[in-house]
Amino acid sequence: MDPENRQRGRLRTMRTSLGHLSRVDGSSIFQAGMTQVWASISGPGNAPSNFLEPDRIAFDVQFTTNFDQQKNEIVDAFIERVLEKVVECDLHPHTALTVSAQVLQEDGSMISAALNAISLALLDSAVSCNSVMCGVQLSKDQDGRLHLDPKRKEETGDFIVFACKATREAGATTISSLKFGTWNDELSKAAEEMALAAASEIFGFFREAFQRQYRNDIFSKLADLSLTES
Amino acid sequence: MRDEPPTLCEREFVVQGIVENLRLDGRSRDDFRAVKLFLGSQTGTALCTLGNTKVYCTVSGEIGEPTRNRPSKGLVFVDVDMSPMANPSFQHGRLGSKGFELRRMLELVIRDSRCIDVESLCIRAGKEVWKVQVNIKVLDDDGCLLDCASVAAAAALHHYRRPMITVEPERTIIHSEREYAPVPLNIHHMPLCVMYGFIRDGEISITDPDSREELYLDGCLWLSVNKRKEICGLHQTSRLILTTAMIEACANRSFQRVSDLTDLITEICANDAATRSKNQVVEGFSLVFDELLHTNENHPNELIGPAIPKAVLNKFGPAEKDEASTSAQLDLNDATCNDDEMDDAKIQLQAEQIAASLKVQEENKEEGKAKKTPGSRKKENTEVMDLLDGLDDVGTADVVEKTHEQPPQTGDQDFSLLSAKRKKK
Repeated sequence: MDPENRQRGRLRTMRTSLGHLSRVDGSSIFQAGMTQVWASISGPGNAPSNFLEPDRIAFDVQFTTNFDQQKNEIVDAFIERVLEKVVECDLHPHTALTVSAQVLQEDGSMISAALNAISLALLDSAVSCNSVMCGVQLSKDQDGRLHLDPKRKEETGDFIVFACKATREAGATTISSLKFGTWNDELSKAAEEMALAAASEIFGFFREAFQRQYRNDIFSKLADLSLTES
Repeated sequence: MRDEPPTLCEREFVVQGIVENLRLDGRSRDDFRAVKLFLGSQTGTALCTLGNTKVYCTVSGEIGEPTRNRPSKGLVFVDVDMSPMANPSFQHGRLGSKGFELRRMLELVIRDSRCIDVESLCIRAGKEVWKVQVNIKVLDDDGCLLDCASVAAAAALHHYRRPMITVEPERTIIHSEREYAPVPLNIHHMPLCVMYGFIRDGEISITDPDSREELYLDGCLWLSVNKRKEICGLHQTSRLILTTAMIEACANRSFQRVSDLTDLITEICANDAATRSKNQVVEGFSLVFDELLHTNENHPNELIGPAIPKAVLNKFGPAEKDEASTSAQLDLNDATCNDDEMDDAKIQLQAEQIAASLKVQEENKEEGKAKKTPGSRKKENTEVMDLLDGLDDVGTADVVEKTHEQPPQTGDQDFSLLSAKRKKK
């Protein structure tokens, strides 16, 4: 599926399917290369009262993977931080938005795949947002070269995840990032540039996914599409 | 978020429908929903769907200390995660009553039925053993979670490969995949669960109730059965009084169902192993996109394994039994040619394949001739047993023991629950 001779600045093949879960408000499967993540969104709805906040929406995020469990909590917090910037928090005071992401199959770039899956689920559930977000992951190898959307083989301990959002004026901009390992300023900037270019490609993919979902698929609720990078 | 409470008028509607043998999704009372089974690209991962119910299972292993009472036995843990992805009324990190029930039952099915050979998981008695962790994650809840979870767990356990190890006097070496091929678990038998719901105080039973029907049931019966027609577990919810005839009918129905499901699992695992041994690309859950999305087009009772070619799949369906039996035989011939690569798992698989193909042949013959003399049938059975025995001798000692325990009348339908109970004791 994924050609081995992929260039370093290119994303892997992405596939998605929307609304495949029966009970939640929004759901998606996102697959990049062989990494597959399922995400679901339900709410805004009620939750235990100690959890709610009086003036804004509360997020209940859980990212689960059975492959590398140490980072789960850090990723939870990161996703929450990103969602706070994208969802219109003030519109739904005293409610909670439940977000779950489950990695079913892991082949590198798991966190960015989770962000993309959550973003698609968010769009599918039609929660009011100020923008669309996506995630891009880059890793640094021993020679200091950057790999966009790394596979498990290419992944090292040094990696960085950018959460980007689409704006009307400036295209894609970064809203938050998560770093592991050592990154100097220069390399971070180079990574950010690469990430922004990739983000606009991902947004194009999202747009096409939703266009296909609502164009011809009235009978079965679900649409499947795959986008191969040319 | 809370679940929608059931209403009286809907109860009336659903229950009346069941009495008239009409269910909300068009099935009759005895129909199961379609089962789809996927194996992941990592070993020990499986996804099973039953109608809209989706359960994901991962099996992982690590080395740890054994318990003091059983120093030479490996450990098996079962963990269940009921996430809000399945049902918004579930909470993150909390099991709830439904989750506890599910976990308890899965422990009964996977651990307490002793289907995994824990003695083979021992590395150094009293010091190091393998700990096998079975993680069940409910992704979508539409009733019959246990049926779906038990299939997913069985498939994941068969799919799991632990790394090869070498024990030296001072140290234990864990080999990577590239040095030595990873080893599968030793699994004696595969108990699977079948759930029955009851209405009208246990007078009428339905198979495979979905989440809407589950709300209006008077009680449920869970039967955990293996392919050899042994009942490994029985659990009933609520204080329903069921007649022996009803339980026997349920058990008899489960035997056929579980035998079909077992065939599906072994077929899929064999297919996956074949793909891996040829160094081909394992598509894993990518197949979800092609197969999962057309749930509505499936007929009830269908068993679907996406990676299996259609000719083999027909074996599970009602039609074209002849073709299926020949294809199974062909597979067998291919497998027997290369003796070098044979390992225990393959031998077991072959034994099951032979049993399955013989069974299909038997059925075909039965269709041709209305009745057979009991003598010839016994002869056939002994032949089957001989074949199985010969193959199993190569495996571990435990397997041999188990096959001898098997009742001699494999083909007979008249099974009595009492005898099963006695045997259990």
